[in-house]
Order: sequence, then C-alpha cells, then structure tokens
Amino acid sequence: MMLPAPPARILAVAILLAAMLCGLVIREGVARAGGEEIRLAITGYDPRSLLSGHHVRFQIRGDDPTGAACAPGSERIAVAPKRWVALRRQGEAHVVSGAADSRAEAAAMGEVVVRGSLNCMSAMDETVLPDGAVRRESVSRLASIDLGVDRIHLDQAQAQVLERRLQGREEAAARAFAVFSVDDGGKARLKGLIVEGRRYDLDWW
Amino acid sequence: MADYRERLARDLDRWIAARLVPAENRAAILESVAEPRRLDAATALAIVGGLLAGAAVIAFVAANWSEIPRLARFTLVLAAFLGAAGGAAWASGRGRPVLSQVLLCVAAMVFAAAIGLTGQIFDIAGDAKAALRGAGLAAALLALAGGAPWVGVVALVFTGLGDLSGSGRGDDGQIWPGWLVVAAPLAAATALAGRSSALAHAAGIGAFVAVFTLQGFVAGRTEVVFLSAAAVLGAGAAVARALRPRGQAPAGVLYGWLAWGGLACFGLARFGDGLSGVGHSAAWMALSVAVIVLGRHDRHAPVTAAGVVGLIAAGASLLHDLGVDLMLAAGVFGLGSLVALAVAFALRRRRTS
Repeated sequence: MMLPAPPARILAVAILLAAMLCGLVIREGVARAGGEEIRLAITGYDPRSLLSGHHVRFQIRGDDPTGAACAPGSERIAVAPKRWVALRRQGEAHVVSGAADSRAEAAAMGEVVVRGSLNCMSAMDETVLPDGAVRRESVSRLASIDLGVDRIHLDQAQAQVLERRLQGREEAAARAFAVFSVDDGGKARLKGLIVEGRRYDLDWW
Repeated sequence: MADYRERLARDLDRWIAARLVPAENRAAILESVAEPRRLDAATALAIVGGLLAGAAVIAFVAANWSEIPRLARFTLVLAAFLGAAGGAAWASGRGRPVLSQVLLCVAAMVFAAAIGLTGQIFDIAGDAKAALRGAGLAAALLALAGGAPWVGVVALVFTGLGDLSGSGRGDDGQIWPGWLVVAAPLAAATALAGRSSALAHAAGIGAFVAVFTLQGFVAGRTEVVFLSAAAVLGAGAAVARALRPRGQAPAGVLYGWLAWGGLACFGLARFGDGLSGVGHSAAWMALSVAVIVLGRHDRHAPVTAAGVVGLIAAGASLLHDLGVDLMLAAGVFGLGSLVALAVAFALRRRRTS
C-alpha cells in the first residue's frame, strides 16, 4: 500500500488534532451540562486577593461552618491524599462530610461523592475549666477541598465587578459559592460562581 | 562539508606540487564534492520577518483577548494551528524541507499552547502532565507525518516536561515510569533511520532524563535503578559505536550522549543505601579510565570528555570515602597508577608487535 505524500499526511494529522481539540471542548460542555449540580462555599486564596488578572482564583472551603473538628479522612499534609470527597446537602449548598480512598467508602459518608482531596489544618482549642484544668480539643480552623479547579476565567468587566463585591469584605466570602457539575465518574467541572446571590455562569460567549 | 572542501583544496594543491595528482584533475575532484545547502541572506531575513509578524499578531490578539468572544478565541487558536500546519504542507509540497520543518515546529508549539488556551477559554480543568504529554504526542504525530526530525525534538521536549511535572502518580494513585522511557529509544531509532543529528542529541539527553522518572517507580532502590540504567545506556552506547563506521553521524552523537549518561548513572548509584564506599568509587574510576581510552581510540572527543569528568568525580568521591587517611589514599592512587601504566605498556607492546 502506498503511503500518501507528506503534504497530505501533514494536513490529515493537523485536521485530526484540531478535531480532537474540538471534541474535547464539546465533550466537556456536554458533561458540564449533564452532571449533578452542587454548590460549595469558596474563599479568597492567600496571599493574593480573589482577583488576579482576568481570572478569579478561589479556594473551596472544606471546614464545617459549625466549627466541628476536621472531617473524617481529611489530611493535615496531603502527601498521599484520599482521592474521594463526600458531600452532604446543607441548605442551598453542599458541605464536606468526609474523605476516603475508595468511592464506596466515601459514598457511605455523604450524598454526593467527587474526585478530589480534603486538607484540614486542625488547631487545638484550649478551654480553662472552672476547676482550673485545661481542656484541649481539636477543632477545624482551616480546611479546603481540592477538586483540581481553583480559578474561573472571566472577562475583565465581570472580574472587576467581582473584585468590587468581594474586596475587603470578610463576610462576603461566606456568601460566595462555586457551582460545579459532578458527572457519573465523580469528576467536578466548574459551571460558575455565585457572589452575593448573583450568578456568573460560564458560557460559549 | 565546507570545511572538508577547503581542506581537500589545500591537500590537492599539496598533492599536485608533489606530483601525486595531475593538475588538470583538480577542478573535477573539487566539483565532485557537493556544496552544502546554505541559507542565503534573503531567506534568513524572510524567516526573521515571518517570526516578527507572528509576534505582532500574537501581541495584538493578547491585547484584545478579553474582548473577543470565547468561540472566536477558540477559532483563532485553531486557525493559527491549522495555518502553520497548512503552510508546512505547502512548503513540503514545494520541495522546501527547511521551511516545512520550521512551520511544523511552529504548528507543534501552537498546538501545545492551544491545549492550555482551550482549557483557559472554557475553564476545563486538567492535569499539566497530561497536557504536556498530549502536546508531545501531537508533535510526534506531526513529525511522523512530515518526516520532520526537528519536530521530533519538540515532541521529546514536551514529553520530558510532562514526565518531570507533577507527582508522577496516575489516576490509580500509582507512580509510573515517564513516557521518555519509551519515547527516547524510539527517537534514537528514528534519528538513525532518518540520519538526523538534532534528533539524536535530543534522544541521547532524553534517555538520561528518563532514568530519573524511574526513581519513584522503583522506590527505595536507587542503586538498582542507576546501575541498571548505566548498563542499559552503556549497551546503547556500544550499539551506537558499532554503527559509527557506516558513516552514521547521528550514531556518533548518540554514542557520546549515552556514554555520558551511562557513566553518570554509574556514579549516581552511590547515592543508594546499598552501594557506596571505596569499592564503588574505585570501580567508577576504572570505568572512567576505560571510557577515556575508548574515546581516544575512537577519536571521539565527547566520549573522552565523559571519561575525564567521570575520573575527576570518581577521584573526589574516593577521597571523600577515604576520609583523611592520606596513607591509604596514596596506596589506592599508587595502585591505580600502576594498573594504568601496566595497561598502557601492554597496549603499546601489542601495537608495536
């Protein structure tokens, strides 16, 4: 069998690669639209503010708003982190309920399981009891979920709007959510952000 | 080639003066040596102009990037890639291999950028390792399609960057060897088949870098990894050395890099828990001396240099192993000197007889 000439081969490979890139975009778009939607609270990412250039960088909060200790399975130092995070619904959003090595273990901890890791920097809370004794207990102080997504790219105008809404307002962080779509395989894809009740969705335009 | 032609002209004048060659044959002999193809000033300026125009377009698009709708941005990225690849196909069809290879390299790099930009445009989260390896695979496909070894170099660079980025863990949490373990030997074979020295350089370096991707895979057995790698690279150097007499310039390039890599791996094996001390350093020195002898015998400067550097490193390592016991150091170095002199004497006698 005769091989096609180099120009034809180059064009064929180039078209194939371009088609694969288009296929990736379409597949991601379909998966994003078809997955289960969840909302997770986010906060700014130190040492910078939430905004940098035309993307907004965020950290997904993994701490329990009630101040409970680190969720089961969370890692203090993520050397070989658990690969599944369990979430449970709390109001209009989801909060973390644990992490595990297997999907089945994680599924037993929460309603939604997603691929990722849970890092929790626990702190010792000291209370002086009436008899003078000191009671120490581990409490969750700073916890975050890593789902492989930590930024959303927006146009400059949208980014500046977010900056004005979020800058220097600690309480605003509690009202900021990232909206994800979780597919059957547990992969989370970012759909948008909700800041102070206003939703910023990713679209084709 | 130009050097050879000039040297031949000088030699011919000398041979004609000595009446070894008839003077009337001078021009015919010189004409039989082909002049290598060179880039003329106009072509060089055209290439620079093309690159500057590309930079201007990129800067203009970057300045207005956020104003452009997402789909239009994606279309722009695809158009840039297809434009470069189409230009390469056109140049290949017109018998302009240099231009075709340059444009294919540009296309491969634009595709790598396209993977990152597509992720940014549509907020598709991905693994940097997978993206770089994908770019490497795409470049390898373009290299094979166009028969373009320079693009093969680009493919190896992206593959190597992918191997070295991230933790090395797969989706299953396991650490796997880098893709270079397979890609570097394939590139070496392609370099030999396509007679490309550029690809041979990249393959030789890639083979050495590939060794470092094996460390996590064979955790805790550093000496086993490096000694095995030294043996494999040494065997590769021997094969490349055997191919040199057949006029294979890339084989010479591979011979040099693999000799460097093999000797370096042998030295690095001492960082494992199970192998260190005087024995290893002495063996390293002996191996380095053997490489120097081989390099001198083959008149291969990089191989000789590998041996010299290895000898210095092994000597320093030996001194470190012996501590401050100067009498012991004097004994070891004296013994080494006697062995070297004895081997040199034996070689000289064999040559004389």
